[in-house]
Formats: sequence, C-alpha cells, structure tokens
Amino acid sequence: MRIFGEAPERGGVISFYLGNIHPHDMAQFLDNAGIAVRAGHHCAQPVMRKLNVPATTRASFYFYNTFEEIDRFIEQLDKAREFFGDGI
Amino acid sequence: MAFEDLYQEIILDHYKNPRNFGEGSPTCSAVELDNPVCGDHIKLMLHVNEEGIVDEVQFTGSGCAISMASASMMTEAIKGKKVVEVKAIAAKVIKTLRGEEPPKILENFGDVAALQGVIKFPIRVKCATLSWHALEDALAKIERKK
Repeated sequence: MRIFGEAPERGGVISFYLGNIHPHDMAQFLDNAGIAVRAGHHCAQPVMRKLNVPATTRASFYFYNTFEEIDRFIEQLDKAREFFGDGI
Repeated sequence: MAFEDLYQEIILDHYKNPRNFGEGSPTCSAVELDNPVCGDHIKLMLHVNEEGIVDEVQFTGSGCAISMASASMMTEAIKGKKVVEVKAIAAKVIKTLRGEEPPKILENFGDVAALQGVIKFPIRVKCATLSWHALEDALAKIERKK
C-alpha cells in the first residue's frame, strides 16, 4: 500500500494505491460496498507522472465519519485485494 | 447485481491471466494508444499474412481490469481471422459497447460477450473500447504500408 502525501499536519484526506489495483477498479469495488471515494487524476496529472502512478484512489474523512465506518473501509480494501489479485 | 455484471468471472480471469500478452515478433506492426483520462495504456502488435489473415496478435500495457480483459478477449476473438472480418468485428463491438446496437451481438465474439455488463456503466465504456480502437489503428497502419 502506497499512501501519498507526507505533510506532518495533514488533514483527513488520503490518496493511496493498493497493490496493482487500478483506482477505477478500486472505486467501483468500494462503491459497491457503499463507500464513496474519488479515483483518478484529481485534476493533477503532473503529480501523477511524478509519483509514477496512472491515478490514485482518495478517501476523505470528516467529522461525521465513525470509527466503525473506517474499520469497514479497511475491511473492504482487503476484500478488493482478494477480488482483483495482482492483475497485470 | 450490476457490479457482478461488470466484473464477471471471465473478465477477472482474462485480467489475471491475459492471453497473447507480451511482445510480438519484429514483423508485426505496432501501435500504442492511451486513454489520458484514466492513464490506461496499450501497445498492440499485429501481423497479417499474405492471405490477409491476422496470424499474430500480441499486446502489452497497463490499466484497469476492464481495459486489460477487453484487450485479452479481443486478441482471442480476432486471431486467425481475415482482415475484412476483423474490421467488421471491431466496428460492431465498439458500436455495441457504446449502446448503439443490442448487447447480445457481443455473444458472437466468444468471451467478448462478458463485456455486456460494461454498457450499463457509461464511464467504463472507454476502458473497454481502448484495445478495439488500437486494433482499428493497427489495421489502418498495415493498410498504409501496402
């Protein structure tokens, strides 16, 4: 799992890339589990090139999110890995 | 239900074990195509013999499960077929994926039938058509060479 952004006082917005799973596949999988994330370039293609990824998945947490929801999110990430394997 | 339609087992199998994946022989014509919106990339290598038959087709690339599975299925659907036939298949598949033809048409092209679920996801149609556009480009390139 790659997590992008290393600012010491960052907010609850986390861009990541898990294994070889394309972010559009990841977002579709999470959507099916009732979890909304954003996937793609986030209007920042130069950064994607610099990070050497085709796109990223971005989860944004806010005060209305519960610990249970975050646990469910992590659980679904594991399931996505099982579902898609390592792909191409 | 729609999610399972999109990611059918056949699609995941082609994604995890892509057919005809790798570099083609030096006599192949190669084209590369990108989908800038999602970063998908495909390199398609094609060879047409003297009888006008696609006798070699290979691809490499990276992208989402739909784009890579579609490419893998495409290579199987066209290998050993005549160029005229391949052209007709490409045009039909692209039209059908765009929703301009009945989805059932895809059932004539082997595993490509599994792409029917994509039609319900307009934003994923481009993933599925990338390799087919690359195929059209490769055929046009071969024709120009003649």
